[in-house]
Amino acid sequence: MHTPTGSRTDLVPTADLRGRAMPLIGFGTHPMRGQQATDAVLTALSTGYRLIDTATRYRNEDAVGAALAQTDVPRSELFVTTKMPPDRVGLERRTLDESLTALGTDYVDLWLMHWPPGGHPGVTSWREFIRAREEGLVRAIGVSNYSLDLIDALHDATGEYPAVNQRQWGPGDHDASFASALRRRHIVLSAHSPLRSTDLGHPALAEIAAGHGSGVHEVVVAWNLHHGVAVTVKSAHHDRMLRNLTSAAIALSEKEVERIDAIANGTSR
Amino acid sequence: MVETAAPTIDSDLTQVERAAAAAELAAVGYTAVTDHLHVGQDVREIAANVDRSTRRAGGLLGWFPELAPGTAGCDLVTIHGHDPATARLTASEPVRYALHPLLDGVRGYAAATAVLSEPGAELRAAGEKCSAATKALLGALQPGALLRDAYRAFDDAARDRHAGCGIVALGEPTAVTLPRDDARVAEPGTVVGIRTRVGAIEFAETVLMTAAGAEPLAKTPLRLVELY
Repeated sequence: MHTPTGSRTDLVPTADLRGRAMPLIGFGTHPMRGQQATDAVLTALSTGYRLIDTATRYRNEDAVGAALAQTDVPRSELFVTTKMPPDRVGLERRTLDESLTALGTDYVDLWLMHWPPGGHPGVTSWREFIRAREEGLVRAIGVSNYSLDLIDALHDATGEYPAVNQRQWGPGDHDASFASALRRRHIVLSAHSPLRSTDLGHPALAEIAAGHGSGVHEVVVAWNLHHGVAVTVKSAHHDRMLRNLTSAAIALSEKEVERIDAIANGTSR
Repeated sequence: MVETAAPTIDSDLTQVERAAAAAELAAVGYTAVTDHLHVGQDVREIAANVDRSTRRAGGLLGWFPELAPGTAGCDLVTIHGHDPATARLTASEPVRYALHPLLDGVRGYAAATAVLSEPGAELRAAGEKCSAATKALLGALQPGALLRDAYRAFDDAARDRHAGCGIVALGEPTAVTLPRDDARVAEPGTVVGIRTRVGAIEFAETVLMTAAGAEPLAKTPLRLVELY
């Protein structure tokens, strides 16, 4: 497999995950499986992506692992994220072992609790996550789809904040106070489904995209990066992968960012 | 001894890929319920979420014929365990939920049981018993084995008057639970639903018969899911 030049990879900013660099643009693998997932990950890696996002629930960790085995990008340059589903409470270590085996790796860079189990913080699971990190099986631990109250409950019980909170996040979801609260806790906000809740035909997005000679999708990615938000994008098509990755080169002005911020509360013009 | 002269299950059920896709849709519905379960949750919101997720995954309608007293949901999902006065989930009642989507006319089937607080010893024991008996049922569904022997395997493992199971023919035109004395055999390529219950615990799966035995297609947990 061809190893790309570092130029496109180097475009992607990173977040400091408590000493570990996390690329702010990642390649999401849901809902691909089997050979399609393997091929897509290989294409993503050759395009310049270095963060690969999967989950136990996606049932594609083996396919992602096949790609990791085939690529000539060194493991040390990759950032692999996976997630434990809420129905595996009490089976944390077994779940992680299964993920590591399927992925063919000795560690994952980021292990997330995919959803709060039963709406609870999941403190018993969180303790197991901490233990797995201390044993070197995961480099960083975090959560997904968590509210601030639940995050604080984890901290209150263990003294440990998650390093990342991944959730649906795009211009239609923008909540400055939530993002700010995460920053104060040194938690990286990570966006999945950045386009789902956003009106892609919104005139502000269309005008800003036209001004930069880009598409609306790329503007949404660039807007997230401007806020220091990690973005997981997914596409099986090389051209789309490339456009998403090169979104990092779009420099939005403060005024443009403010217009996009205002979409969520309906005041953007 | 295999009764080779016994009739096999409806040949319409041999469309393995379509059955796997329908089972996958049931798994999507399972996820749409499980991720959003919490004390106080309105079961109508759960049903709406299943509807959204299932539609996004290509589904549209459901097939389940049973609407027992105390059941809530829509034709894609059936939920037990809510407070009937408020339609909301409680910490004390286990939640049983069955997913029964149709995908291009093919039935998918899965059911699970979850608790939103630490279960008592009796409930946990029922969960373990139901898991073991379900495993016995699946283990007995071997190519050429009689369906009635699979029923017997479940009964022998459960040994509980509050236990029961059904093997469901999922083929057109109607889904029916096959009789406990069914003398037909399960052959590779056929797909059936299984449904097991011990007390307040219930599981269901879409099962493909292969040369190696019964292969669950939805792959939802056949154990009590503890969410707390």
